[in-house]
Amino acid sequence: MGLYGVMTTSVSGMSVQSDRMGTVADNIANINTTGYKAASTEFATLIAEGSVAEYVPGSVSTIPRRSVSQQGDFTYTKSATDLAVSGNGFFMVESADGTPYLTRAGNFVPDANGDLVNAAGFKLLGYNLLDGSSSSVMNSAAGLQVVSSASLGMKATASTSGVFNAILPADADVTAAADLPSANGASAEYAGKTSIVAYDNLGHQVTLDVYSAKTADNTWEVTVYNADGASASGGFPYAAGSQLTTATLTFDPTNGNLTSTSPQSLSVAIPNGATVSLDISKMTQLASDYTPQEGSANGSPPTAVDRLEISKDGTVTAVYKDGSRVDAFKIPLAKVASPDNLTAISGNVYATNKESGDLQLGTANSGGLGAVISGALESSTVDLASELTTMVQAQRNYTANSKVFQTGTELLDVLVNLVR
Amino acid sequence: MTLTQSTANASSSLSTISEQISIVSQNIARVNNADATRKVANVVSGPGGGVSVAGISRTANKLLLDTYLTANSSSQTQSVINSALDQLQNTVGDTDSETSPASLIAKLTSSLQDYSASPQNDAVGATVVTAAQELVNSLNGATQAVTDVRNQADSDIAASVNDINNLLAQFQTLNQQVVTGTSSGTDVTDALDARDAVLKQLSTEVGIRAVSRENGDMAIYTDSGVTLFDKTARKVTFQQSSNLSPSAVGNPVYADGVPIAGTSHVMSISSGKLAGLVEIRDSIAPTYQSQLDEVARGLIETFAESDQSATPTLPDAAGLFTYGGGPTIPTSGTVVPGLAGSIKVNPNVDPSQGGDASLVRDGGISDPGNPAYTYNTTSGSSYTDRIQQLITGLDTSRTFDPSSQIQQSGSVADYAKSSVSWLEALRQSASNEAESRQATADRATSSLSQATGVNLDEEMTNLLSLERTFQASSRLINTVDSMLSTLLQASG
Repeated sequence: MGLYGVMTTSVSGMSVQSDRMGTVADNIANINTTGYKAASTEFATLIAEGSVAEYVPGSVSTIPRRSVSQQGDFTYTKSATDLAVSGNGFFMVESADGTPYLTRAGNFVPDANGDLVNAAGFKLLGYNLLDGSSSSVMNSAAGLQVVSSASLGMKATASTSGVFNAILPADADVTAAADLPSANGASAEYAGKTSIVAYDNLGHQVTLDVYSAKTADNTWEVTVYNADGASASGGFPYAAGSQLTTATLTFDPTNGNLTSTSPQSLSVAIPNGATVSLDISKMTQLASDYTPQEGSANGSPPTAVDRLEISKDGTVTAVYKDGSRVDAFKIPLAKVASPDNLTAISGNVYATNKESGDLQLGTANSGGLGAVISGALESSTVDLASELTTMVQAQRNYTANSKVFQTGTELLDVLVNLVR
Repeated sequence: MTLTQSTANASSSLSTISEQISIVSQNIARVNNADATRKVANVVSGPGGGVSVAGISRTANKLLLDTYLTANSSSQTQSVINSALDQLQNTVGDTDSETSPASLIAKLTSSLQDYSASPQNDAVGATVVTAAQELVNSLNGATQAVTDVRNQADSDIAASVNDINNLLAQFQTLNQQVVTGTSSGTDVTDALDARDAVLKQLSTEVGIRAVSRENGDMAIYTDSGVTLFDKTARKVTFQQSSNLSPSAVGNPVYADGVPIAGTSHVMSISSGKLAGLVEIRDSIAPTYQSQLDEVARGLIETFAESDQSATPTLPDAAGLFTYGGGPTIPTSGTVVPGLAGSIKVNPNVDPSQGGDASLVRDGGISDPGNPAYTYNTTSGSSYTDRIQQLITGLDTSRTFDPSSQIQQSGSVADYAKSSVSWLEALRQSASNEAESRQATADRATSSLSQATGVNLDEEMTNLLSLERTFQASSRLINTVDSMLSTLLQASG
């Protein structure tokens, strides 16, 4: 029995070495594949039952391993939708047929529909923050949607708050009651005017003309008009209904600041828009010229999405052309109890199985999940030097096994020749 | 760390260096551009050891820029005033010039004296009329010059307003790029440079104050606080006058519906070309015009003829000098706008217009048919009383309108001299002021360019150190390569 045993054992030895060569070939082939995790081979003995007086050679079997949990190095790119995970955690992606998978290959680009698709054709999944339509399920990919910029159309934001802050000239002449801007006469006088652009519900630009006039020492009147109603020359008198608000401010003569009883903000109701709360608490009265320090309101005209920005915690923010930002999606990261036991599937994706444990979804950058890095890709974990070393070893081991086989054959030859 | 990673890190270093070198090359290319600032690449190291360029920043200094804007506006105002005064000065000439009203009055006096020496000689009488004609031409010419200066200023204001609107439109585009770029994290340094350049040009036209806001946004106010730009450009409007007669007032300039120049208003601007042009159109030129008008009025008054009857009943009438509204004498001590433009020699005394020069001696120029105004009642050819009276009249002290800003009493000849010195003094002080403001502006320019401009020495030093780093990284790649090739030989 012995010699045949030697031959089968050495054949199994050669076979596992060729398996090992297979992993080396695979690794070297994928040395530049984003998100690739190096494969390796472990071996296990197979012992044949023998008796005390006899050694029966067994054989060896291959156990392929993938070090999925090993962190790859980062390569930096210019694309904001190139993503990498620094730490544990996987992106959730779905294949063309809608099956969810895990992956570390974050080379996403928007396709024709605006969906983020990686190089292998898998679509990135996330929670939709805009309409709140996705429910967050801890241990399942249910409720995740494809991250897409398609749902982000043009938008206009109505102004809701603003700031007006000017230094009023303490030594200005007192304006007669009939000439105050609030009286809206053609002969209206004022110490200063500043106009501020605000936006209505549809994103129309509404210019607010803010007039300041002194009514008595340390007392000022601030009146806001809608510039649309201005006279042909661009000033007083305004059309009826153009006056949006007026207020009387009192200043503390000891420091020039607003007194505590004076209004600290103006409520300006924009026609067909929201009510803008105009913060005037920083207005001061000093012996200087009229100097506007700050005058602005929030809101934006209709703008389209310029690009997507992805933060460390996986929030996908739509940045509009005017610079305003809206959080659109949240990319969750997934983890499993034993990532190295995940089933590798073509396209750098993994599926869960009994050994790997169940899927757990969580927010990036928290709870032991890694951070999402935008503008970077995770390189393959293959190290060429160690692969070459492994290859040399496998080659020598294969040769040694073949020598054993050869010797076994030669011995059999000798045996066969005995019969002649 | 694996060999592969070492190669990756070295290659990230190489790509970072090439980006840095491209920035150095941009800096060097712009070394002679006054508006360019120095760009710097912000290099950061990432997890794993690689490096990357996180962004590009520029050396900007808002405070120095503000100083420059103020100094430039203030210098421009003065230089515009200065050049207009130079133009007036060149046309009108100084006291010594033969063409100035002051020296022509002296010439008229001397021809009158010659005539009083030989009153019977009509040819000498004709020289008096010629001298008067020269004086009239000089006053008419000066009025035309002042009107030209005012019309020029008016059309320059229109051009300046047009420039301001164009610059504000450019600013809006650039500001939009900056805001979008800043929020999306792209390189906006070029847009910022271009936007600063627009601000500098704008400060030439009008005094401005720029206020920075979030996302790189900027608002512009005039030096008097009127909004010029806040998210969108405000309209600056001006209606140019077709022709500004001496009595006409030019139109005001409006920004955002508020008059900022042209009529007195609490929000009137104080610097920039626009402020200077309006000052010329509405203050300096009209004042000088009113002085010329007062000289003309003084002459008409001096040469006026009175009723010589035993019981005078007729009003005084314009003599040698008359004007559009003659023969009535204009009210004493009150300026008549445009008088210097319409003053003329009475045709009754001008031989070239069929008049009789001897009327200077005899009187009755205003109405040769009316004997009431004839001084030489005996028709004696050696009558000199009227000539003497005229010579004395030129030296007699008179009252002038205080609005003309120079002496209120004095002889016409003295008044004309003071007018010339007033202009000269104004020009002198304007020229000094312009020089000093120019010096301030130059200092502001040089400190701004020192703080933010490109320095060639610095760029060359950077270039050398980048070159060394590039060499070191390439050497690393080379070394890893030879290590791997050793390994490949071992396995082959």
